[in-house]
Order: sequence, then structure tokens, then C-alpha cells
Amino acid sequence: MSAVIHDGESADARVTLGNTTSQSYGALVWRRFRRSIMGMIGLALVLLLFTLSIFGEFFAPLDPNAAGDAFAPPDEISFFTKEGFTLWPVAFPLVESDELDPITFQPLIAPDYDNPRPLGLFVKGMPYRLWGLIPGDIHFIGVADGTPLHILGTDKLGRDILSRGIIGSRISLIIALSSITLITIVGTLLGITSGYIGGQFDLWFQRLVEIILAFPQLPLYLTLTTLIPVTAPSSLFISFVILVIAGLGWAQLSREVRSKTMALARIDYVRAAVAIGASDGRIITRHILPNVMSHVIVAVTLGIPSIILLESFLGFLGFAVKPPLISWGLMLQDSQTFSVIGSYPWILSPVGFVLLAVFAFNALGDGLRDAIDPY
Amino acid sequence: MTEDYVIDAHKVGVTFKVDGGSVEAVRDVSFRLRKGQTIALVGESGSGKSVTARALMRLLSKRATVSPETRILYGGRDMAKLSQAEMRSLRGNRLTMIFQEPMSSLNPVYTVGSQIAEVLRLHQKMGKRKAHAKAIDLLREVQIPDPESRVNQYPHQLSGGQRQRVMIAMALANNPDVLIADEPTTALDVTVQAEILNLIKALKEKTGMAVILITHDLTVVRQFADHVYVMQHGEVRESGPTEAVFSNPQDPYTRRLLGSEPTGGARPLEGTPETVLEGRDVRVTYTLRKGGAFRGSYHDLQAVDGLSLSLQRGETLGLVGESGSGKTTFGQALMRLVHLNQGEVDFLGQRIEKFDRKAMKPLRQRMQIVFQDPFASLNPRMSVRQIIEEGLIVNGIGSGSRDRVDRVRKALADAGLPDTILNRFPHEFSGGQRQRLAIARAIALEPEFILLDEPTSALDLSVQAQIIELLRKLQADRGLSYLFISHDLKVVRALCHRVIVMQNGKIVEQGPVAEVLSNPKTDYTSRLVRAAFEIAA
Repeated sequence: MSAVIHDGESADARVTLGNTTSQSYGALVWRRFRRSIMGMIGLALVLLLFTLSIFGEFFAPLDPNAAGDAFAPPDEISFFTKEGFTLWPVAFPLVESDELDPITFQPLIAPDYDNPRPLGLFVKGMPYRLWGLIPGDIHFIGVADGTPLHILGTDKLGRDILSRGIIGSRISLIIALSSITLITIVGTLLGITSGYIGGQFDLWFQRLVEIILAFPQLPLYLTLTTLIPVTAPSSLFISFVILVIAGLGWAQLSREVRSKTMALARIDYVRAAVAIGASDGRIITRHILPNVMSHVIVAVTLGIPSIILLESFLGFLGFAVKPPLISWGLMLQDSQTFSVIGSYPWILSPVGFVLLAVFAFNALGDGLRDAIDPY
Repeated sequence: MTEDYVIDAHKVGVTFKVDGGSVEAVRDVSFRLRKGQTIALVGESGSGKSVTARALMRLLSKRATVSPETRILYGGRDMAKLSQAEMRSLRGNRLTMIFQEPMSSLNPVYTVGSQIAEVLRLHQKMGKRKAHAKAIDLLREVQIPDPESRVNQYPHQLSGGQRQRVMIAMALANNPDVLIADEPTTALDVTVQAEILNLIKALKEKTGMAVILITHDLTVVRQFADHVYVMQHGEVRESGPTEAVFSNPQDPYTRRLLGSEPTGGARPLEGTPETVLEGRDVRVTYTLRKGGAFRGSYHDLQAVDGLSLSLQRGETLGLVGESGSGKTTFGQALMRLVHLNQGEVDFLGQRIEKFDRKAMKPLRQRMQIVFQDPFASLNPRMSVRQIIEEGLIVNGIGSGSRDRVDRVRKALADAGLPDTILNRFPHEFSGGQRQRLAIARAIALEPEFILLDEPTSALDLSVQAQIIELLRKLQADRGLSYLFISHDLKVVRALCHRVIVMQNGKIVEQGPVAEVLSNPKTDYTSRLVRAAFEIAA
């Protein structure tokens, strides 16, 4: 039987029906994704971000809530000591020098070049409980003798900014991932329903979507977040923020999914499914959903950065997260006054975390968009 | 003597870089073109004929490399030595090209007149007014009615055939030496095809240009080309004067290509079989909204205007007409896949026109459909097994998973596919193989009636012949009834017992195939017949 086809259809593209192994959808996507350099960088950064965040206590050099010297600048790290070049970098601790600031008459703080302390990996440091469960005291990086190391300096209460940034990524990512999950579920379901049912339901439902899309979002966020009492527990507060972000965010995705669904509902293979007697539920789950998922995955990856940005913005205004929880936005709240930024520029470094995360997810999303439809 | 030839292409070779290697799309293709001559590059899709033409125009993509042996002489000059600027002044001026899809080759935001004038102003440095006047002349030359007002219209206001005429006018604007026509009529209706080809022929005789015709249509080649090059897998299999090649083909591939023209006829019906499907006075109306931001006026378009047909067991009924004549809508309305506004439909003795989807469900497995485009009719995310098995699951056929797989295997075997492909996905198959999959999906349910909606028109000729053979075999084995929608009368003649000719939602003629085709009663039918069997008529 197959010989007939080999012979006859050889001109019709050179497709063999032999036993060449078939590649799965995932393998095809991966093959195309690998070609995108930016996408691969994005993927690596996203993985790095998740690793840092999940094993935060291990990667953070210090306890993020331990107070020390306020507004201490980043420790100087160098390969050169007074004796000359060293193979292993050393940190110079900050000490108060004998000189006074000519204006404020406060003692000037400067690195102590006489007292280099070698850096180390996997050093013993402050004890912690990983995920609140597993006790440990090994940190990825630190000073070998266990004294504090402030790679990015400290904030107004003297807490280590790098450690707070690493631990804070958890809350920022939790907010972004939970709201995007809600948005995906709600937006996809409503979009498919509206696009597939069509007619009057679609007509009125899309007006609702338009109202949500047209709403001035920022004032609404601020009003909604001020609705919860200040005394509410932090976890309740975060859940509320997530709900608000998801409540406004699903509309855009549902629009996109709806238009995709409408196009798919008219395509021949859906008609063929009707012709074999398939029910609406089957058509939606077997024919439409798998074919809109590629679009949804890309939309979701590209949606995460905007939520991270939104969180940092709301946090900056003091609406997203309440202490003692840490998030990037909350950390940036410290930099609200101009004079603080002028004197202690390192407290802006959480911006770097936000930039990194936004870039990582955007690059990943761009790479995925090109790769996700390999046919 | 090379000077005699306008184009003398020697050992053209083109290689494309692809993932993990390279593909030789064209290998050692040589051809020559005299002034005033028409040569045809014939072959099925993927045979490298378009790539050859693009190599000539130096319009290949960046992933392509032209082999070092390639030598293309244009009027004695080696084209590989020409600079980009010299090439630009040749393209659209001395060497011009028209493409298959006239809609996408014209810019929708400019009037056709300004697009023709642009070519003139670019290459002949003609003034604005003069170019406009020349554009009108050119439109007249390509026989567009009322050129003075057409010149100011936009591409969407013209029909497909008129757009192709505009493309030809643009190509002819600078009296080129060579016109490359890449499948110029494939996207057009059959009756328009003949007009366009005759126009090219007349203009060729008038201006003395040479034509390279790229096509898969053997009838076109036979009527229009002086010399033919048969291509397969990027190589020329056979070449020679058209008549010689057609009457005495040497190469086995050419012989097979010529032999794949659909032949034969339907096996006559025995006795008086029962009626499977009957439609009476079926009407399908679409409501269109016209203009007006607030109060648009509505008007009804009668896509199917009171049509009736009846189909016997084991019979094939052809439904013929040009695009837009309502044949697909009619067929799908009979299957209750589109809403019908009026009329009665009997299927196996049941009145089904009032049935909703739930009531239709028990009947679905007995009526099936095969679509025109095998690339849109198979869900890309489902494996072969899932695609064919779905109907069995939905209709509760088969006693279990194992029994269903056996049925899937049998359907694949009946459709001429091996059963090793169960876990593969549609994108791994060629057009003809996909159409076989679509047929396997339909026959797995063991239906009594199949609506075949142009199942062969997206396929190459030799594949088309195989699909026709398959359909015939299935009909003989299973006593299937087909409603066969097509615009290709050759295929209709080979497959159908009776034929209905449609125009604008109405039946213009019907009867036994042999009778309608040999003795058409209406002008419309005779035009269709002429277009299919003797294009130059």
C-alpha cells in the first residue's frame, strides 16, 4: 500500500512515510526557540530569578530583617590589597575614620584598607530556616569569618539591600504569578465562551469588557487598595492586591482569546468536528483550546513584566505590600525623597531587580512568540 | 550562436540553506528563449520552476545560493556580472514578471493608474500627465472596459481577472523583451483563465516579446507554449517542442504526468436505487449591511436560491460553478452545517431541515464531508489517530480502545495510507496525504453519503488522479453516494453520473454528465466546457 504513495506523491513535496521518528510539539517549539539568542538569554535569566527566589535564604548573604548601620554604602570589593594582587577577592569593612565631615561634623565612614577580609563561597553565616522549615546557616556568598557583607549597601534601618532584594523577589513574583494565573484562567475561559457562543451574549459581554478596558486603572487601584483596613494581616492584603490586579487584567486577554476563537470557529477542522457530531464542549476543549493556548502562553509571558512593574509602582506608593513582608516596590518606597537619593544612591538598586525581571520575561516572551507555532 | 537568443540559461542551480543542511531546489537546468517564443516550465509543486524564474530575475531570498556553474546570458550579456543597479533597471523594464495572486501583487492604497504610471515614470522618466495617458492606453490594450474611469480605481474595485489584466499592463508598460508569467491564471476562475491567456498570446504576437510560462496545467501548456521543459525535483526531465513532447513523451515522469489527466467516467448505476438525499426548494439567505454609521440599510443576498436535487445510492452528483456561485453553501445546507432559511431536506427517509444539532447527531455518522483545503481541515494539534478516532468516540462506535484503533487502521488502509503513522501529526504530511487523511476520517464512520467539497483542487495533477481513483474505489466497495462540488469539469467528467451547473445561487442546467458536457444548452455552461477542455477556443 505504501509503495503506491511513495511512488505517486514523490513530487508532492518530499515527505516520506517511512519510520522517521515523529517530533512532538514541545520538541519542535524547543528547536525553534533555541535559535533565538535573546529568548535563550531570557529563559536563563528567568530560571536564575526563580532559583534565587526559591532558595532565597541561601543566596541572601545576610538576614534581610537584621538592622545594622543605616545607609551604609556598598562594601568595597577588590582583588588588590596593600600587599598587592590577590587571586581571591577581598572586602574592606567600613569603619569610622578620625576625620569629620566639614559640614555636618559627623565622623566620615571609609573602607578600612588595613583590614582586608577574604570573600568566600558557601560560608557559615547568620542562621536561617529555609522556607521556614529547614534550618541552616550556610550562605552562598559571604565573608569567610562570618562578619556582615553589604554588597549593595544598607537601607535607612541598616538592613542589607541585596538580601532584601533576593528575599523580596518572592513576594513580587508571587503577586505577578498568582495574578497572571487568575488572569489566564478567567480571560481564556470567558474569551472562548464569548467568541464561541457569539450572538447577543457576545455583544453584551464585549461591552462589559470595554468598560473594564476603558476604566482609568490607576485611580481604581488606589481606591480599591485603600478599601482594606490598615490593620488587616499582610497575607490578606496581598491576596486583595492580587485580586484587584487580576480583576482588571483579564479583560485584555479575553479580548485576544475571543478574536482567536472566532477565527478558529470558522476553520474547516472545527466544521469537520461538527460534521462528525462532536458536542460544543468537545469542540472547545479538543479543537479550540489547544490552538489558542500558544497565543495565551505568549500573552502570559509578556503579561508578567507589566504586573511586576505595576507592583513596584504600587509598592512605591505604599499600596501593594505592607511590612514586615518585603517586595521590590516596598523597597523603592525608601527612595521617595530626593535628598535620600542624592546622598545614598545605592538604595535605588531594587530598580535593577525590576529591570532584570522585566527584561527576562520580555525576552522569553519574544522568543516564545516566534517559536510557539512551529507548523 | 548565443546572439539568437534573448535568454540563454545554462546549468542553473540554486541551493537553499535550511536547518541542518541544504536543499538543492534547482539543479543543472538549461533553457533558451528566442524572441517572440513562448516556453513553458511545467511541473508539480516543489519541482523548482518558480525558483528557476526567480534566479533569472535575481529575486531569490538571502538563504539561496546560486551555483557557480550557472551562466545566464541576456542578449549575450552575462547577468551574473551585472550590478544591482543595472539589474534594477532591467527588472520591470526589459524583464518583467506577473504572479499568481493578483490581489497581493497590487498595492491596495494606490489607484491602478498611478501604479502603472509609476513603472513608466521610473524607467522611461515620463512626465506625470503623459504617464497617466499612457496608463489609459495600456488598460485599453489589455481590454479593460472603460479604461478612462478604471484608471482611477483601486485594486479592490476590480475583479480578479481585471487585476491580473492590470498586472499584465504594468508588465507591458515598457515593451519588455521577456515576460515571465508565474502561474498567471491559477487563482482565477476557469472562464477568466482562458481570456487572460488569450490576452497574453495576442500581446506577444503584437509586441514580439518572449514569454516564459510557469504552470502546472498541461492544457494551458499545450495551447500556448512553443517549447516545453518538464521539471521534477529541480531537474529538467524532458524538453522539446510542445507537440513532440505531448504526442511522444520519452521520459517516464512526463508520461505519468500526461497520463494523470483525469480520464474515464463513472460506472453506470444498476436498477433504480433508493434516494439517499433529497433537497427541495432550498434557500439560504445572508443579510448584508450596507453603509451608514447609524442607520445602515440591510439587503438580503440569496446565496442559494430555491434549489432542488436528489441523490441516489451509489451515485455521484456533480455541482459545478464558478467561485461565489453558492455551491459550497448549498452542499453544507443540505448537511445542516449552515442554516437554511427555507426548503425541505430528506436524508434516508427522514425530514431533517428542522432538526437541531442534538437531533442531527445520530445522522452525522451517516453523512460526512471532505473539505477543499487539506491544510485547514485537520487540527494541527491532534495526531492522526486522534483525528480519525474522534468521530468513533463521539458516536460511540467500537467496543473499546482496541477495537477503535483497529477501525482507524482499516480506514487508513482503505484511504491508501500505511498504519505506521498513527502517532504522527498533520504537518508531517503532504497535501495529497492530508487529503487522504481527511477521507479516512470520513470513511471511518462508514457513512452512506459524503459531501466532497473540491477535494482535488488544491492538489497536484498526479495526486489528483490518485484521489479520484481512491474515491471511485471506495464508491464501488461501499456503495457510497457523493455530492461532488467542483469547478473543474475534467474531474467532474471522470467521476460524476449527473451534473448540476450553478450560477449566482441558481441552477442553470442539469442532466447526465455526458449530455451536459457534449451538448451544453446555456451559454454559461458552454463557456465552462470550453474553458476546461479547449482553453484557446
